[in-house]
Parts: sequence; C-alpha cells; structure tokens
Amino acid sequence: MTPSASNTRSKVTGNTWLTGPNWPLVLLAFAFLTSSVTQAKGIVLSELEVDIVLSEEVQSALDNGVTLNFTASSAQKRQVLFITWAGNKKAQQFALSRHALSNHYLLHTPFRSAPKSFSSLRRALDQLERDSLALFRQTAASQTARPITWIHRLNLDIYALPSPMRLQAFWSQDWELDSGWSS
Amino acid sequence: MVKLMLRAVIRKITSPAPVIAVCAILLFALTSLIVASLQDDSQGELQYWITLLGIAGIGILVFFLLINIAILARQLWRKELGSRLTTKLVFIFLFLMVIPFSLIYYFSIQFLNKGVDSWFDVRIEQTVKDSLLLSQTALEAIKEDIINDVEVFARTLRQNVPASELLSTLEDFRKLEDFTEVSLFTDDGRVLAFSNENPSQVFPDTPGDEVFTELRLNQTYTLLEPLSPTAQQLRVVAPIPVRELGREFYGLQVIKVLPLRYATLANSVETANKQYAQMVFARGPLKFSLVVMLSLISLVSLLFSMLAAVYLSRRLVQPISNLAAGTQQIAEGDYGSQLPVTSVDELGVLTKSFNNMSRKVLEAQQTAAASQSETEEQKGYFEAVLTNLSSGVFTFDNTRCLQVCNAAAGDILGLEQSELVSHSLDKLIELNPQTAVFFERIQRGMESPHSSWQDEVTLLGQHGRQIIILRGSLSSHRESGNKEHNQTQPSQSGIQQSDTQQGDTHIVVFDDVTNLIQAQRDAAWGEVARRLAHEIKNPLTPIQLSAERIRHKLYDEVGDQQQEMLERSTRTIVQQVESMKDMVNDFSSYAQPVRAQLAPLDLNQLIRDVVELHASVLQNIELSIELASELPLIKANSGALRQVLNNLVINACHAIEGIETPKLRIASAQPNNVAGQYVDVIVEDNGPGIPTDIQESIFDPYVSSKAKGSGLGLAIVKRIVEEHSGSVWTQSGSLGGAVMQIRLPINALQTYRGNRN
Repeated sequence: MTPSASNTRSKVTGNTWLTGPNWPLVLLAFAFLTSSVTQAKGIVLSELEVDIVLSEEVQSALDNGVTLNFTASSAQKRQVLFITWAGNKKAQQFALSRHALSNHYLLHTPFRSAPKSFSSLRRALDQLERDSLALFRQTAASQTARPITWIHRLNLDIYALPSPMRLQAFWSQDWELDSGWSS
Repeated sequence: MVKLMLRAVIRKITSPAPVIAVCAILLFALTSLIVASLQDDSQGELQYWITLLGIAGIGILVFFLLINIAILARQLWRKELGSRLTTKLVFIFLFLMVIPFSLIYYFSIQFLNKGVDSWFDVRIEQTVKDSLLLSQTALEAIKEDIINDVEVFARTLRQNVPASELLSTLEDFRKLEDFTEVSLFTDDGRVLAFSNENPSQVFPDTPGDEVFTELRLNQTYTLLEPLSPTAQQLRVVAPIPVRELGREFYGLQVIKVLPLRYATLANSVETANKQYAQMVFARGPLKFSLVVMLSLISLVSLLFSMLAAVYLSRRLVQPISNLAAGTQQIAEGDYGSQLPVTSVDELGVLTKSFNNMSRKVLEAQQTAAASQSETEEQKGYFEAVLTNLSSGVFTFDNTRCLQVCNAAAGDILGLEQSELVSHSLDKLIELNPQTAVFFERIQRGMESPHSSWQDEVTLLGQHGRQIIILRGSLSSHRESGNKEHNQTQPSQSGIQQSDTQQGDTHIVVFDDVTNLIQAQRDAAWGEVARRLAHEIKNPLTPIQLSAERIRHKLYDEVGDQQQEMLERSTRTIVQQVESMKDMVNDFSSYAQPVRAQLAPLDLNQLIRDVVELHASVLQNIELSIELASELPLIKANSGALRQVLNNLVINACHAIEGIETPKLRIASAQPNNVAGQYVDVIVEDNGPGIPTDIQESIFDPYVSSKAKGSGLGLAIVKRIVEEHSGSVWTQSGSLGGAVMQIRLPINALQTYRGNRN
C-alpha cells in the first residue's frame, strides 16, 4: 500500500460481529481488549498527549525506505456486565516514510493530499502525535444522541509492512507499537 | 458412555481422511504464505492468519501423530496382532524418510541463504547510491539557480518596492521565472502577498515552523517536496531582513514544480533507491521468513510423512493381521471366518484364498460333523440293538483285545462288562477260570482258517449249567476312534467298548440256548409221550377188558385144562397190559416237565428223609452219610429232587446187590472253585460201576446196565437236575463203583424251562 493511497483511506466498521450469540468469541474479544488496554507498547496514549517512541529496529526500517503505517482508531466503548468491547470503530491512517532525495521524512495525513516534510524524525513524529490527538479530540467532541464513552487507539499496522518483514514483525517486540484502547 | 464417545471421536479423527484434509489445507496455506512472502502487495492480515493456521495445523498434525503413537504403543503393550509388524514398518519408513529429508532440509537452508545473498550485488548497490547522488546533484543545481534568483529578487524587494506594487512585482517575478507560486510572509507567518499560477488558489502554501526557524538564522530554506508519484516541487524560502520595529525579516517563498521529466526521473530514482534499501534491509527478515516457511512446510511434510508411514504400515499390516487373526480363529475351531478384502494386490489375492480355504474348511467341517452325527446315530442305533439283543456280542481287534461287550454278554457269562473290555483273550482266560473254556473256544475259532466259525460250549454258570452256542466271523475294516481318550468308555446304552478299533475285527455272537434245547427236548419228549399215550396206552384198556371178558365168558364153558390155560393167558395179558401201562406212565412222567413251584429246600434234610425212606433196604449196606454243615437252602422242587435221590439210591442199591460188603456213600457239599453258588450231592457205591460202552449215554432214556428196569431212571434224574439248572455226571470214586454227582444252583431261576431273560 502506497502512502498516497493510504492517506485518504478511512473506514467505519460496525459491531456486526456481535449480532449472534457467539459468546466464545465475545470472551476472546474481551480477553483481547483487556490485554490491549493494559499492555501499551511503544506508544503511550492519554487524554492529553500521545507519545510515540520508535525502536531502533523500526527506525532502521524507516531509514531504509520502509513506510510505517499508523492507524488511529476511535470507537465507542460498549459494556454488558463485565464484558467490554469496542463498537462502531472509525479509523484513520497516517503513513510515515523517508524521502531519500530530500533526506526528509514525509508524513501523509488524512487531512491533506500532499505529504508534509520534516527534516528530522522527531518532528515528523511530533506532527503525527499532534494530528492523531487532534483526530481523537475531534471524534470525542462529536455530538451524539446519548452519552458515549469514546476509546482511542494508535498503533503501527504491521500488516502493511513489506511482505518479507511481516513474519518477523508478528512476534518481534521491536515492532509492537500499540497504545491499546484508552479512553 | 463418555468413554465410548471419546473412543469414537478418537477413531474418527485418527482416520486418514481428517489428516489428509488438514495436510491439504496446510500445504495450500503454506504455499500461499510463501507466495505472499515474495509479494509486497499481499494482504498482511491474510498472511498473519495463514501463519497462525499453519502453526495450528502443525499442532493438529502433532496431535494426530501423538494419538497414533499412543494407539500403537497401547497395541504393543496389549500384544495385539500386527502391532509389532506395524511398529517395525513405521520405523523402517521413518528411517528411510528422515535421513534424506534432513539432508534436503539442510541443503535447502544453505541454498536459500546463498540464493538470497546472491540477490544483493555490491555493484548494484553502488549504482543505486550513485544514481541517487546524481539525482541529488542535479536537483541541487536546479535548486541553486532558483536560490540565486530568489535571493536577487529578495534584495530587490528589500530595496525599492513600494507596498502598492508588491503584488504585481511578485506576479511579474513568478511569470518571469516560471514559478508555480511566489509569496511573501512576515516573520510571524502572516501572508503579505502571493501569486499563484492557479488563479483559483485563494491561500498560499504556508511554510512550516521549521522554515521560519531557519529564516531567523538568516539562512535560505530549500526543500524538494514530493506531491505525487509524478509530481515534485522545490520550495525555496529566502529571508529579507528589515529594520522595522517588532519585525526581524520577511520571508520570500518560491515554489516551483519540477518539470514532468525531472519529476518522473527523480521519482524513479527515489523509488528504486527505496525499494533496494528495503530489500537490503529486509534481507534478514526475508531469510527468516523463508526459513520459517521452509521449516513449516518441511515440518508439515515430515509430520504428514510420519502419519502416512503409520497409516500405510497399518494398511499394509491390516490384511496380514486379519489373516493372522483368521488363522488363529480357525486354529481355535472357529471355522468359516471371512476376512474383508481391502485390496486387489497379492495381499487381496491371499485374503481371497484364505476366505476360500476357510469356507471349504467350514464345509468340510460341517460335512464331517454331519457324518459324525450320522455315525453317532448309527452307533447309537447299533448300541441300542446290541443292548436289546438277547445274544451276547463280543468284538475283538486284531490284537485279540476285547473291544465291545454288550450287556447280554455279561449277563450270559455272569461277569461284569467292565472286567472284560480292553482285556486280551489270553487275559480273559486267565482272569475267568470258570468261563475259560468259553474263551478258549473263541480263541480256537479265531485261530481257525475260516472267516466264520461256530461252536457250542457248556458252562456251569451262575445260574447253573448253560449251553452256549457261539458264532464268530472275521470283519475286515478300519475305524479310527477318538484317540484323545484311549480308555474304556461305558456307553449310555450299557455297551462297554474300547475307543480304539483298528484293523481286522472278530465279531463273536453267542447265546445261551440251554432253555431252548430244553424246551425242544421237552416238546419232543412230550410229543412222544402223547403219541405213546394215544397209540399205546389207549388200546391197553380195551385189550385188558377184552381179555378179562374172554376169561369171564369162556371160563365156565371150557374144561379144566383149558380153564387153567385161559386163566394163565388172560392173567398174562392183564399183567403185560399193566406192565405196559406202567411203562407208558413212566415214560409220560419222564416226558412231562416239572411245573411245580420252586421253594427253599434244605437239601441235607431231604437226603436224611430219603435215607430214612429206604432204611429197610439199606440195613445190610455200609452207609456213609457226609452232609456239609451250614449248607445253604436252595430253590428247588422238593418232590422232584426227592425222586432224583430215590432213583439214585435205588440204582446204587441195585448195583451193589450181591456185593460181599456193599457200601454206599451219600454226601452233600458246597464247591469252592466254581463261579456262582452251587451245592453238590454225591451218591457213590462200590458196585461194578458203569460199563465203558454206555458211559457216554448213561443218562439217555432206555440205556441201562441192568437186566431189569425201564432204563428211564437216570434219564429222569438228568431231566430233573437240568430243569433245576443243575448238572449231573458220573465219575470215578474212592469206593471203586459208580459215582453220581449232582450240582445244583442255590438260586435256580423259577422259569427254568422258559426264557432266562
């Protein structure tokens, strides 16, 4: 997936997977959600800020032309008894890459068609943090008919990595950049 | 219930179909995974799930393998048929499989590493870097030109451009230099004026914070910015220092979109460089991915091969196990077991042959069982016939060992059947002296050259004298009995027989014809007596009456001389008629059987009574009476036996008439050396004895050594004794005369004249 293609992509998914009485899946989802909330790795997400710290492996990959796709997701927190899950998910994608000719980092955001250039990685990440935080705040401020608790998540999409790198990324902690669901 | 369900589930999941399905899915998944690994545009999520599927599939295969190994181990532990052969085959398959497999795996890894490394050539890498550097240099040159223009224009603006002409100046400058956009900002980012080639553009492209940071350092900011894969722009921002209150500088920004050719080439260089850098960076992960994929596929293949080895071994061994089980069943007597034919190869042919053989064995066994049943029926019938046969039946084998003895045989001989069967003829002669003559006759008959023979023997059996007729025949046949029980078996029907019959068999049938002969004799003598009475006795009375009438009528009419002659003649006629009547009566008495009931009789007392009766006659005779003490009572007709003793005493008295010192000895005794219970009565005198010429027929009617006498005395004695199932014979005695010895059974049968049975 190229950055230009991903920068306009946004998807809204409903909670149709929970329409049937598929309780084992619900329990599995609960376990998954619980673990993802409690185990934030590489990305810290709170109400006031987003902090992204890339591992050396990820930085190295970025400097070697690998595009990093971050997904900023917002969802409505839903709970029945002790089971909690994310429903009505909305996701936006950010793509971070390095432009070798200009020796700058490019950040593709959903807000503009052309990428933004940054002379350093930190600046690019700061912009990513700001943009995602703005996105979360914008979503949280949206008017709804009934009070909703929004939860947010920012994570690196390892499925969008180049194919040979995915398998290693699946079980390497260096590639675990996930804030988990946070309200 | 749960156990059964669990076993059913295990049986289902350990069958080849699920394993093949899992393996097929796994191989498809792993192949897809490898293809996906080599393609950048593949779905990452799909790859993740395919990897998980592969690992889960391997887990399932390991589970299948462990279950199969556990089942095999359990079968080995239970020593089930075929388990050891299956294990051997599995090990052989594994041995043949693992070694080449390991070699292939090792070399594949090596080739894979070498192959991936070979993709990255140092010259290519250098070329890519050089192209990047060249592109950067070329762009740098363009950039320098633009910077120069911008800086010159900036100085122009700083010196003498009034505010009212600022916008037109920017417009002119943009058009002059063919820029995309020219804009002027204050140091806090506010737009003072801008010109864009697109009139519809309302706002300029505002530079970022970092641009103003550089401007504050009085440095010109330049940046090549990609817009799209086919569009790139150069952004140049130059500071215009001013000396105004609260303002440090203005920023003049120029944006120039690179010409399409430049942009395309730059993008191509960027993309190539990016992809090559990615490849170099992903070399390690790529190797890792390929090794993992290869290992997964190898593991799946190895597991599949191991499972296939187990299933193939089972499939190969199954017919052999079936055959072994079938053979065992036949060995245990379960004939006719049919095995499933699961293949058309040699094992299938072997299984079919086994089924055919088993079917034929069953048919043969059923035929044999039917034959045996028929034989048993015939044997039962034969035994029933033998049992109900009044004749005794012996069968001897070729060793002259008694094989079959029916109840009648033991009854006739007065011996127990069990004492006879399985003994040889010599042994029977030795063990049974009282019937030795009987068995000697059989032996003689068997030694005769004829295939059939006949003989007659007289025994003193348990119930007295017996006349036995034997008929023997040689039967040549072979019959194998039950060799497992080579013992004497009493049959249900009471026939004693040995279980081994083989070779020539002598069949001896014998019968006690004592009563038959006696009956025939009685009938013959009775007929004679009847005829005598009819033919002789009946005319005697008219003769006597006629003679007396002649005397009565003529006595007074003839003279004295004739009267005397008449008197003498008629008296002679009357006397002779009386004599003939006596003779006929005696003969009738002899011929008529004794029909009196038998009753216990004290023989000693009878002897004393007879001696007392003849006391007057015996006065001048030296009489010796030797009566056995404790002589048992016998069952006899006292009147008949009294007549016997009278006849014997009278005969003895007649024999010793004229002897100087007549002696008479009467004795009773109980013999010890004979079978059964008998009493003997001996009447002995010191007369001249029995002439040699009539010794053989002394007991026949009308045979006598005396001048006077009817010749029926001893005949009547013999008849009465025989009717008591006894025997009488003569022998030499200590006194020198005749000795008459009578042997009578203690328990003579009541119906001695009839059938003993």
